[in-house]
Parts: sequence; structure tokens; C-alpha cells
Amino acid sequence: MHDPVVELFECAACGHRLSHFAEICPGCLGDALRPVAVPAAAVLESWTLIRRPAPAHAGAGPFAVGVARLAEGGQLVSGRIAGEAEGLGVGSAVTLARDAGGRITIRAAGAG
Amino acid sequence: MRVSVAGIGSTRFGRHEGATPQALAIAAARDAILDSGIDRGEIGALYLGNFVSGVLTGQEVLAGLVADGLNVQGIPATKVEGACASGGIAFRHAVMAVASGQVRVALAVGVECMTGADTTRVTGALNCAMDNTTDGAAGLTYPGLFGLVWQAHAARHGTGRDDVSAVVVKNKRNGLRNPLASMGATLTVDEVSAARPIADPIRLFDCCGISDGAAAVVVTAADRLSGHPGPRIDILAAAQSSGPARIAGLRDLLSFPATVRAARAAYAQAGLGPGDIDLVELHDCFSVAEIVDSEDLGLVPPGAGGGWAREGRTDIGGTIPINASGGLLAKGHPVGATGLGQIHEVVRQLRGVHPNPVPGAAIGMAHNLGGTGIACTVTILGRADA
Repeated sequence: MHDPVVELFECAACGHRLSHFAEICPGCLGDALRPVAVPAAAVLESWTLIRRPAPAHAGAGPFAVGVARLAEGGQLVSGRIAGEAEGLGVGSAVTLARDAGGRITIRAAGAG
Repeated sequence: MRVSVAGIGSTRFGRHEGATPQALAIAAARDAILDSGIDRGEIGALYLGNFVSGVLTGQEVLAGLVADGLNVQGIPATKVEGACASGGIAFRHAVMAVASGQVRVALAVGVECMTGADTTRVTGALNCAMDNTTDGAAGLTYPGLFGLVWQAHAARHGTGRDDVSAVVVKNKRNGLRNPLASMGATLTVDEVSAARPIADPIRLFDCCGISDGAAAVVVTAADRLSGHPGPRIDILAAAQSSGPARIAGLRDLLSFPATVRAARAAYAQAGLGPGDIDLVELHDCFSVAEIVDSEDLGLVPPGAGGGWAREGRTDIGGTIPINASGGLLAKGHPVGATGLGQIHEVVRQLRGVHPNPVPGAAIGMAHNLGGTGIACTVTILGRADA
């Protein structure tokens, strides 16, 4: 079984990595950003439970948003906490993925 | 060129039923012009800070509307927007206009009308200041952002509910004596802890209130004020910075780089350090923000913000009085007006006419933060006779 990966974006010219797509690389201003799969292992740095969502997420009910630090590269990434958030806390091992819309999701490491 | 504050004006922050943003802005600007004793015909430029008027009230071109209402048409009238830092940015542009010699007198105005919209609409409008392809797409809100900050601060420094509640209790208490604040209250730590949860661990009283309001400042060359009554208040620094556009750009959830950069620039401009600051009005949009801001500004050691609040070291009479006005928590946060409201409060302190006086205050700071830390201004003001 392969370790899970998550797609980031990397500049082919300078190697700068982003967790979001951009037309222009902020590292070298080149336009050669391309998807790159990196290990999805991360550590949860923080979380919150959104009880009053913005209109774009109206009706979603309380949901958890977290910030995780990638094990490789150390970058912080924000995303919706998917699945069971119970038991997760600051310092928990988590895995990053992207949902159907391309948004980062965070779930407990080893969770299905 | 030394630039000074010539006059200040402010409406009360709170609910102004049926008021238009231009009406509030014109009222505050009129008061600032009258306070300055300078003929409005000398005003050479107007800068107006506003953030969500277009979204919430359908009214734009506010700078031109205010120039028209003050009958100072013909001068450059410019609206600036930097989310909740819009007012501070307007002030800095007015200072630069005078410092550069382009104009002799400039007017900065900040305004917002928010109470006509319900909380959901306001949340959506404020979320316009978030990168909605990343943090916003995850469902983050501003209470949520500071919930994240608090959890991280708690994990690293042990900052607990009682530490953060001490900020709320202090600022709400300070607001009781400030006629410009509409949300002052006598609260206990237990009442703060029991309030309705908004974005864990942020609860209702941890949040600044949705508000209407306007504030204005007239600035001019220091020598223009010779012979004016009262202490002259000089602008020792007016710094502005930008910061990461999203959480993914931060190295650490416990620090906003825009604040650190603006503070560093302001101290350098003024030739001062944190130990020289007698009081600060800082951007407590949420209770825990006061703790993080005070650390980013270098006024409190890293990680100690919660403890200092709990020990009363940020009260009036403490080591560094923070938000003697009541801050955003007690005044309310009409987002485009807040930065100028903070400068209004600092000027009143330095003139010795504040309802919550910090005894002997000679140097004061204002800190205005926008978005997820994407924009920031830090201003340092000082009595010329100190």
C-alpha cells in the first residue's frame, strides 16, 4: 500500500511550492507552475468549529476547519476537517487530500 | 517635514439607524475641521477609508460624496480599501500628502455602516477580505480565524479561557466611561465563559460588535499650527505594510507578519522602541487578537500576552495600557472607520482630555489590522512639548 499523497503546485523553474493554484509563481514570476504530488502526512496545528458560517457555506451546519503543517516542507495549509473530528487535537497526525472541488481536506491519519 | 494632527472628529460607534455612510463621514469630518481651526479651503487632499459600503449599502464613490458634502470639491478625493485597516491606510496617505509637500493640509476620513444588514450578510461582506479560493473555500470566517489563533496560542503558551476573558472584561469596562463606545459593560469572567459559542473557542463576548460610525483627522505641517491652543500632537511615524494573503503564507499562526513589519518600520521612523510607548490602541477585533497583537508589536514578550492581561498589566495604570478606550470590543468595529477612531482616541489621550486618561501619556500608538493579516498600519503620535 502506497503512502497517501496530496497535490500541490510547484514551479518548474525555481521549485517554489504553493498549496493553491496561481497563474504566476511568486518565487520567480515565471508561469511554469505544475501539479506535484507530495506526501500527505501533516500535523494539526489548530482547529476551530464554525457555528455561524458565511453565506457561501450556509446550511452546512457546524463544521470544523483546521490548519495543518505538512511533514515534508513544513508548509501550513488550511482546510475543512473531513469525517470524524472527534479525537483530533493540536499535534494530532493528519492526512491531507483534495475534495472533488479541489479544496484541501484534513482527516485523522489512518482514517478511511 | 514634521506633520501634526490639527483636528479630530468622531461619531459615536454603534447603531445609527437609517444613517448613510456619507452622512456619518461628513459629520465626523466637519468636527475634525472645526477642531483644527483651519479653513476648509486650505484642505488640499481627502483620503477616505471604507471597506464594505458597496456590498452592504450599495453606495460607492464615498470620497467624492464627502468632498461634495463639505464643499471642498475640486481637490483630489480618494477612497482607499485595505479591509479593516482601511482607516489607518487613509490616515497614512493624508500624512504622506503633507509630508511630501504636495499639500499643506489633508483630511483623512473613515466610515462604515453595517447595522442595516443581518449577521449573515455582514459575515459574507467581511469574508470578501479573505482569499476565497483557499481559506474562504474551506469555510473559514473571521471568528474562526481567531479561534484557530487561540487554539495554537493555548497549545504553545497555555493561554486559557480566563486569560482571554480578562481582555474582554477590561475592554468592556473601559468602554463604559467612553461616550464614543456603545458596547461597554460590566462583565464577569464567568459571564464571558458562558456566552454563546461562535467559532470554538471564540464566544459571543470575544467578538467585536457590528457597528456604524465615522472618524476623521485633519493633518498639516507642524509649523502651520504655531500659535494654536493646546498641546501640538506630532505624527512620529505612519507605517503601513502588507502580509500573506492566506494562512498558507504564514510561518506561524501566532504572528501576523504585517504587524511585525509595520511596527518595525514605525519604531524606526520614530527613533523609538516599545519601551517608549505610553499607551496603545490596537486591533482587538476578537479578544485573543489583543494578545497576539501586543506580542507582535513588541509591547509584551512573546507568549506572555494572556498572562499580562490576567495580571492587569495591560490595564490603565499597568505596564502598558492597552485599549483604554474600550477598543473594538467595547466601541464596536465599523470596519472602515476603526483605524481613524483609534487615532482619535490616542490624540485625546495625548491632549489630556480622554475620559479614561492614562496619566502622563506623551507617546501613543495605534495599530490597525486588515483581513487575515494582509494589511496593517502602525502609527506613533507624540506630544510636541514632551
